[in-house]
Amino acid sequence: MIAPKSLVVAASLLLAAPGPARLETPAPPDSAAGADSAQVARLLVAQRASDPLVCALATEVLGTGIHWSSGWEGIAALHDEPAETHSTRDVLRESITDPAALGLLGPELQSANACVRRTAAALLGGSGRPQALGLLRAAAGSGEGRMREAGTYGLGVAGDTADAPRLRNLLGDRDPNVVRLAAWALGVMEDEAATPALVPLLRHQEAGVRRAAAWALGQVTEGHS
Amino acid sequence: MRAELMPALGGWLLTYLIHSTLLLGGAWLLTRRLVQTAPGRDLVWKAAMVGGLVSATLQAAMGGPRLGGSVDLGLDRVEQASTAQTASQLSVRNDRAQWGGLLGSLEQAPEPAAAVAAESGVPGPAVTPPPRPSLLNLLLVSYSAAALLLTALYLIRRGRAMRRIGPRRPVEDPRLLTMLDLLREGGRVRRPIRLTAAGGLSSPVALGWDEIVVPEAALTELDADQQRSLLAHELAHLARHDPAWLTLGCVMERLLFLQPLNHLARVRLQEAAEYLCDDWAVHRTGSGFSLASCLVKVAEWVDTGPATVPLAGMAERRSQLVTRVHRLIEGRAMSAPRSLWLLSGAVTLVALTAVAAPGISTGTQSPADTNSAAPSEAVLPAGTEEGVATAWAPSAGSAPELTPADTDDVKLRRTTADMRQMELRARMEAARELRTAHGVLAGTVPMAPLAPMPPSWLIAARAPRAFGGNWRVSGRQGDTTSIAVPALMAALKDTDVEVRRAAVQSLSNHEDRRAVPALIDALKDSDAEVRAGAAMALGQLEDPRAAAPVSALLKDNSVEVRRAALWALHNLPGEVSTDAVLAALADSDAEVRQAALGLALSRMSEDEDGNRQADPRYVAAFTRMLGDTNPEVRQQSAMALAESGVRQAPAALLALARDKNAEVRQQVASALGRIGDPKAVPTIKELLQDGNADVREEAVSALSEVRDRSALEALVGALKSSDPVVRRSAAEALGQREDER
Repeated sequence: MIAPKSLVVAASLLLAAPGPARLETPAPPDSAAGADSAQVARLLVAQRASDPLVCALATEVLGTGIHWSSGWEGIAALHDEPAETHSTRDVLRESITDPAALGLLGPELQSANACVRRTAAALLGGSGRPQALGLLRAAAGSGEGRMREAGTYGLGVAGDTADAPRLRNLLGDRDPNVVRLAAWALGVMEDEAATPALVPLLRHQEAGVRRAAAWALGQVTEGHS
Repeated sequence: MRAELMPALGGWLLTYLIHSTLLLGGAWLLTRRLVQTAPGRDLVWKAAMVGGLVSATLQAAMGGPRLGGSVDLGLDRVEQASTAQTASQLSVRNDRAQWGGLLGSLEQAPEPAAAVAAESGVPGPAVTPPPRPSLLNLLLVSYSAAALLLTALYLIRRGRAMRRIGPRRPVEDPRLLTMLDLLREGGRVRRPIRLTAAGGLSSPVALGWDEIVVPEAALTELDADQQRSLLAHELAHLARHDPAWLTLGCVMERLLFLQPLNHLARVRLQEAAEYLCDDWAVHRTGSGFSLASCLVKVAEWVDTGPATVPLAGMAERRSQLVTRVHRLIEGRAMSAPRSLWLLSGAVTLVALTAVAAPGISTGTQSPADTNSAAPSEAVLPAGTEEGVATAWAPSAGSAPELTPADTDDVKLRRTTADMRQMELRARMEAARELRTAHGVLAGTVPMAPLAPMPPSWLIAARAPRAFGGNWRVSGRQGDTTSIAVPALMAALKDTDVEVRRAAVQSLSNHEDRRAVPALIDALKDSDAEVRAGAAMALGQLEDPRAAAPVSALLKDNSVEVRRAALWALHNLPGEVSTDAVLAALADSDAEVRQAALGLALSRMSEDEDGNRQADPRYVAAFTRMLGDTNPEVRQQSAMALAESGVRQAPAALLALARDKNAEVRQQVASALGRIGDPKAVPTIKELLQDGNADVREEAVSALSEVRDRSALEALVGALKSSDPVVRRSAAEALGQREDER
């Protein structure tokens, strides 16, 4: 049996085949690699070197389509901001669809840097692409807790209700962090079928899990959107 | 050949008419009540439209008896006497023979003229007359000609519409082509799609198997998000083969024009297709707003003349546009996927129609048919009510028991019918099992036998008008709440404050009155956010038990809690302590003081005429608040004073007419008018000279409300004001007084 982790890496390499695959030394933008890969590579390199707080703040809006408060369409940008920053910012706040860029993100689901891992999961989930969802599913089934955590988070960002049964299974995961994120993701999906499995989690020994379950149970209610 | 074809065609057409009426009528009923989702409607109308064709053809091909009975128009028998038999003789035969007599037949050999003459009593001609065309043939030939003519007209109009679009050039913009490729890949559309542009086109359309044609304006006037939504929508049409379905619908409408419900089916299919393509596009692009704005833009290009032929176009159905835009903006897009049980149900219904629905034959039967039908005709006297009833009898439970006297043929026929019934029951049982299995797999109990459960937001939107308040107490939504609420109530006692905060918020979402006692307990929580959340949740529940405990929070240490308590008390019925409100009126937070003013007014008692009874303690508090540091509080306390039923303007209110804030002065003028105290007229006259025009205008209005001679004189004086607005307002006020007199 092939380990899910190997699957993630293999799938990532396949996706990244036409583009740069080594993160430490990202290749210059290559037309064959797609429009987003250079921006994603740049972000990942920057994140590794950044303060965790800056990194965490920066990743809040990744892949969400939310406009930055600094300005809409660059109207409110400061005059000496590099123009290329705008385009990079716009790419990263929207869904990443470039297969090569997604390929860069796949291996980062196992990064030791939590912020990078979260970024990869958010961008893969936000892309909604079948390949990206495949990577996240494989990560959610991985033997490594932090990969399962990242995969679960990414599936929650994707919000594809087809993954609800998988996430319901993860409510029984041995890792409480995975359980917490699975509860959150099911709340995001407003998955009513998860209610019976969420209720016992209100007595879970980890407060984080209880918190997520309590929140999720408020999302699956009637008329809530 | 022709002799057999024409009656067969007539029988098929009439059978089709019966079957399609049953199916299309059923579809209409189903989609009115039970099947509300776009995928469900799409499936039901497609099945009904094609089902009539399939079932009528299957029945004709299978031959033999039908469970639902058959009507034999008896053309062969009628033919033998058609030229000579009198109308009375025909009526004696049976009702079905009358049908045959109406339709007539040309296909049988004409009887010898002599025999005709002998029966009719009229001397015959010396030579055999030429064969006369029967009424049936005339009808069928006329019908076929009309159907072909209508179809040809449709094809001509379609050709004209294509010519009007003009030459189509391939779009070469790599950005758009990449966009389309990505959408195609994401939507698993494997075949290559051609993207072309045409100058004569006003709305994008999907054509044939693999072409999307866009207006030239779409390339320049839409932004990237709108273009992506447009392409996604049209790609969805191609992925769903909508152009082919639309063409089929249009051709059926014309070739089978004897069934007017085909038009309804085509229109409903077109509507469902648009919704489904919107959903597909939103799913692929992640934005309903882009598609909505694109629709609005495209609608501007579409000319308002009637469309020549229906096409699978983005804004072809203009009457549907507004609904679609609303649906997209309100996030109501994203239909539930078509369910398997609905598909199997549709197939079963069509099969049931083919097996059980009555059919029509025109008397020219195959040898096998003749053999099988003969005993029935022989046993049952033609023309009796019993005979007709049996011919139309439904299949289930109507077949008489077999007797030893029955012939082998009859036994065989009934056994076959029984087997069909068993097969039918087995199919229905299988469909029921499938539905149950589907529900189990989804972790839910199926709600209705035919309709899938709508998503929760849809229930919220529809429950009040479609199902009334009882909708919430049944079904899996109620189950969710019944499981979750007790657990969340227990979570309000959790040691972790974040858990308690989440629990109180979730209970607020559930709006379940069982939670009231637990939420009242939570008002004493050590965490302010929990207390505030509990107060808000209780306010939403509008339970009178909560009024007293929530009013106690008006003295809470946390300003957020006090604000939440005031918000809740506005909603809550029941007694609120005056002391608690008075305390809130003296609160250190201006927002709390403002909210408390509103609450105090709402809690004042009213007399029979609806006038508030001034409570001296509240009046004193309002008067004191006229000197508040916050101008908004000063404004609102002036108004509260006027609304509280006082008849004399307090000195503090008169003094406030010199407030530095113009909005406060304007509010003072309004309040003085509302109180109507003549002693306030000099102050109002001062406000007529105010530097702010709004204050001056309000002062005129106030004077008109004071019923005193001094106010009247002040109004007359205002006619000489240098401010034209004051002069005009004063004139209007005086005119109004004159009218009242």
